[in-house]
Order: sequence, then C-alpha cells, then structure tokens
Amino acid sequence: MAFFIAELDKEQIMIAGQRKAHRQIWLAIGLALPILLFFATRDLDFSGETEDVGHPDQFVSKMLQNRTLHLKLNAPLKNPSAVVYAIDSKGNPGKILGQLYGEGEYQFILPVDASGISVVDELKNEKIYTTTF
Amino acid sequence: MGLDYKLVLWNKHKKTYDKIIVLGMLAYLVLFFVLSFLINPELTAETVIIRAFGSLAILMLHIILAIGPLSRLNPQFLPILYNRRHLGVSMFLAAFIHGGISIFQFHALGSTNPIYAIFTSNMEYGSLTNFPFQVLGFLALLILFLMASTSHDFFLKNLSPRIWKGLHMLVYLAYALVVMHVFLGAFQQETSPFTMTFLILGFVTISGLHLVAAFKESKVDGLKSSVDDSGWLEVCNVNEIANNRAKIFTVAGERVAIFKYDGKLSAIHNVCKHQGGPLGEGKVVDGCITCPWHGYQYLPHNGQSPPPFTEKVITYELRLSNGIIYINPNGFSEGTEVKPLNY
Repeated sequence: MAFFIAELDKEQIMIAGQRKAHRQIWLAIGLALPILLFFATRDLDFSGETEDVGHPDQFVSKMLQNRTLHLKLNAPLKNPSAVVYAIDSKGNPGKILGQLYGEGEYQFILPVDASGISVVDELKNEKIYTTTF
Repeated sequence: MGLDYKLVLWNKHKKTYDKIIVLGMLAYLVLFFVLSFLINPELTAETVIIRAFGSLAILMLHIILAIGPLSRLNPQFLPILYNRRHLGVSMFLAAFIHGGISIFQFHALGSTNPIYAIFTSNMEYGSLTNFPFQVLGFLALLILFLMASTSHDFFLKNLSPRIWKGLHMLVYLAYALVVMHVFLGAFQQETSPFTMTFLILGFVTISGLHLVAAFKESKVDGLKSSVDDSGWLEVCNVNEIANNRAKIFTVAGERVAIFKYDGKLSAIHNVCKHQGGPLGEGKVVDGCITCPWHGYQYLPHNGQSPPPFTEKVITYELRLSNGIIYINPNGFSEGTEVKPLNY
C-alpha cells in the first residue's frame, strides 16, 4: 500500500488529506472556541447590580427654582445612548426627562415626587450617572 | 465544461437558486428593519442597518457551513452544494456592507486613519472579556474578501485546485473569528439573550454536523476489504452496480469509482480534477463519465477528458471472478489506457 500511495500525485493525496484536515480543524474549533468563550464570560457580572459606569467628574448638577434641574456634561460620554430619568420617592427610575447628546448644559423640569435623576444607556442597559437631592 | 471563462456561469437551476438567495436576503432585511423599529424605536437607522447586514451575513455563513456536511450525510443536499459559491459571494457582500458602514460610523469621522483606529481604539488585547472585538470582525472580513475575490474558475485553474481549496478552507478560521466577534461584541455592547442563544445553537449545530460527517467518512475510509493471493481487493458483485453508474470503493484511503456501462467495467480515481467533485456519484453520459458537480467529463477506459480538454485522472485495472469484481490497488499514472473489463 505504501508503494501505491507513493505513486499518487501529491494533488491526489491531498483529497484524503483534506478529509483529515477537515476533521482536525473541526475538532480544534469544537474544543477551543467553547474554552475561549467560557474564559471570556467568566469575569462578567451577571448579578444584575450595576454601578455607574460614567466618571462622576463628567457631571455637575444643580437644582434651580421651580424644580428645574441644571445638568452640565463636562466631557463626551463613551456610551452611545444617555437617557435621563427622574428617580421617584421610592428610589426607582420613573419619568423620562430627556436625552444627553454630547458635551454641554441641559435643564430638566422635575416631577413633584422626584428624589434624584439617573442617566441610563438604554442600548447597553448601563447606568451612567446617578444623583439624589 | 468550457474552454473560456465567463463572468458568471448561469444555467436554469443556478438562476432559480440565485433568485431564492436574493429574495431570501431582501425578506430577511425587511423583516429585521420592521421588527427593530417596532421593538426598539430609539435605535438610529445606521445602527439598524449595521445589525441587519451583520446578522444576515452570520445567518448565511451558518447555512454555507452546514451545506458541506449535510451533502456528505445526505446526497439530497447536493444540488445546494453546487450553488454554494454564489451564496458565499452574497454573504461576503452582506458582511462587507456591515463592516463598511461600521468602519465609517465608528472610525472614519475622526482625524485618525479608520483602519488604524480599528486596531487602536480599544487596546485591551490582554483581556479576553474586553478584547477588541472589532479587530476580529475586520480580520474575518479580510478572509471573506480573499475568498470571494478568488471564487471564480479562473483562480481555481491558475492557483491549482490544491492551493485554491486550502485558501478556501480559511472560511473555518473566519467562522471562529466571527463567533468571537459577535460573542464579545454582544457582551461588550448590548447583552442580548437572543443573539447569544442563536450563536450557541448555531455553533453546536455547525461543529456537530462537521464532526458527524467527518467521522462517518473516516469510518468509510477505514473499511477493510478481502485481499486475494495476488494482492487484489474484492469490491462487490457485478450486479450491485447499476448500468451507467458507479460503485465508490476505498483503496488505501483514496476513493475509486468503478463504472458499469455498455457491458463493460472501468475504474478511475473518484476525484474530479476541476474542483474535487465525486465522479462516482455522476453517471456515464454519451460514453463519458460526467462529474455531477460541474459536468467535467472523462473517458472511462483512460481517465482522460475528451479533446480539446486536458484533464486526466488515475486509472485502475479490474478483474472478474465468479461475478465478483476485484481491483488492483496499484493505480496507473493519470490518463493511462486500461482495457475495459467485459462482463
């Protein structure tokens, strides 16, 4: 049989070789990818409790008269979405006040029962900034 | 089979398949746009376009990767295999739109070179969880571009089938990169249970199909046959082969096709010189063994393509004893004339 194989053109040998290569490649992928994915997700926090991801120095908030909140964003946010929620008296996010689009100054009229505000990235489901009064 | 190259080799069946591909892609995109705007109206149009084309490309890549093992497990899938190249190029176009708009949206509007920005905007190369997933997608797109741009028969002929096939097996690396790209991207950007579930189910299905098909073929390759005193291998009874058809037999790990036609028997190597198609699954048409994949033809008695074509395959000697076919495992050089066996 060895003589027979030696007689074959290398291109022909490759056909059986290809079958072997396919088998080895899929064994490698089948083992390596799940291991990589496991280690990639091992450090993730699935507890659901999130900390603010924004830098506190990015925000300056000040209550004005007539329940008007003045919010200053000092530096651009990394998050693609920033929705401002009023926090109700029970501490839960309630009414949507508006969105932040970039650096600058914003003013929002707060509901009567608001005890603070929360800036949330709706796409990444992350809290960026929270403050209470 | 032709002497010249055409931009696209279309026939009635390929046109039907291509229409299904185009309509399927359009239907998916429309459905994705409608559902996205209904479920999450806050998303911008650019984000929806990026996600629509990205998810379409991944879905098509899964279908493409499933076709090969499905065809090896069940010949009914073979007609889809013949059209896989058009599906592959269409998938690349979807991936290219996804990648192109992403690069423009996230990297081309600043002062840094967008390609340089892909590699430097996130430098957490030491972390698995926060690894720059865009780099993985970019590398996968490069591989898919290489494959799509060399998919034409011109490159198959000029690169040689061996190099071409090796090049196109990079699709498995591209698949691994795409899985990591989506998995890490999804966790870093937006944790979607639907995306994760689809990706994990897809991975289990594709890798499972490939491994099942591989071990089935490995079993066939390992089949032992009776050997007579002169070292010839017993194949089967002559009545087990249908007229104008073949029996595929494994000799030293290689497949040989034994054809029965016009009261004669001939054996040639099972692999077509064009793209590695299984000649033994074809039939004898107008006196020529015709590859079921792309219609390349060979004369049964010498393994040569009829003039003016120049393809040649290895031929084998057969012997008949009490209705049982025996094959000499020592094949002749490609294109060697072997007198057909009368039965």
